[in-house]
Amino acid sequence: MRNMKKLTDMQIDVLGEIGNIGSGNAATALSELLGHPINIDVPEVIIMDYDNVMEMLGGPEEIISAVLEELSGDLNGIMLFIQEKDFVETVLSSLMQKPIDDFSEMDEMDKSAIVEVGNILMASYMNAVGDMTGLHVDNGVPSHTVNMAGAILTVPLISVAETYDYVVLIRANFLVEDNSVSSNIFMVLDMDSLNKMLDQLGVGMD
Amino acid sequence: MNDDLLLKVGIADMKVAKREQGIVTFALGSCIGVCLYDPVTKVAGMVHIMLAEPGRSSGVDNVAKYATTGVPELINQMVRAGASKSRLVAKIAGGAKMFNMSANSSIGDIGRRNTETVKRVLNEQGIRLIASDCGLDYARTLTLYRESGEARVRSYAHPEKTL
Repeated sequence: MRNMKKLTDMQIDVLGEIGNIGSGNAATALSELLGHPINIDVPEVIIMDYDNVMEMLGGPEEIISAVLEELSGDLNGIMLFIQEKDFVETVLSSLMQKPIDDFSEMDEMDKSAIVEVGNILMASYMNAVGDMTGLHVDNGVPSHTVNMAGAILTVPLISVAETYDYVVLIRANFLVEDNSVSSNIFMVLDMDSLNKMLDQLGVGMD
Repeated sequence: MNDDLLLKVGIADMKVAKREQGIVTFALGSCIGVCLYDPVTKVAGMVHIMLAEPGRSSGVDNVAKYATTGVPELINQMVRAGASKSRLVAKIAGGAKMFNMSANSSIGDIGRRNTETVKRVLNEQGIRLIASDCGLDYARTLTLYRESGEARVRSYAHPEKTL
């Protein structure tokens, strides 16, 4: 078992750059979709484990909307597109002309719009990653929930829990409307895939 | 009651309460919170398991991670804290499917397997399961109150339940 907690600075830089290129492509797609300019923060590379997962997004019981896709092909892992209520409100008012005040007001059509936005964003993200690395990745079928952040973020940890008690997470933040409204894309690869991607970019583990 | 007064159980973690007011674990998705309680000595315990059992290749780094190792270890710790194994009763919550994954997904079925395995292990240990709130597609925060042995399940868009 290789210890990925000890990524070198260069590897962290490369992963950050992958996040930058992926989220840049996704931001362009999102901007075209919504007709709003989108800003992105510098992506973060985070080691998420059992101690910090519950506090990652405003506490374990924070209610968020999330679209999940399971990556397969040359890379295996999970992508999560996570939206706070304000972001969902912005998306639904520009796409569906339907402002909402609360997640409970979302009907099936609203949910399907959010799933589609997530699907487009995550596909744009992975296309850019694929171009950069020369690896082919399938994004899988998107699945959506509105629920507690702690349970949603635990999903990537559970997917590797038999072997590892942490994941390496690339987090990109999208900002709309004077930067007051944000959403996140989390890319989590299994350890073999993370190694493969770093190898492909010339900064593999020894 | 304020959560600040309660012992907190993290992911793949367990706690035993002898004096504290209770024990809480937050946002169980496919994970399961197993509460054990001795109504006579009022010793209460909780474990937050992630998976049914260790894989063949992996060693057990953390017993609280798995149903097959976590439940027996919680029983041991509670007996050491003054509980009688024969009096222990169990209440469980969690085991949900947070995302509707495709059939060949590695993570889609974990909640159901966790629930089945916890029930089997409790049965093997001779511990009576008196209440359970498992499955479906939403997260649960589980609190066990030591004085009464009452367990409460808090979730989003569903009323609070008392087990």
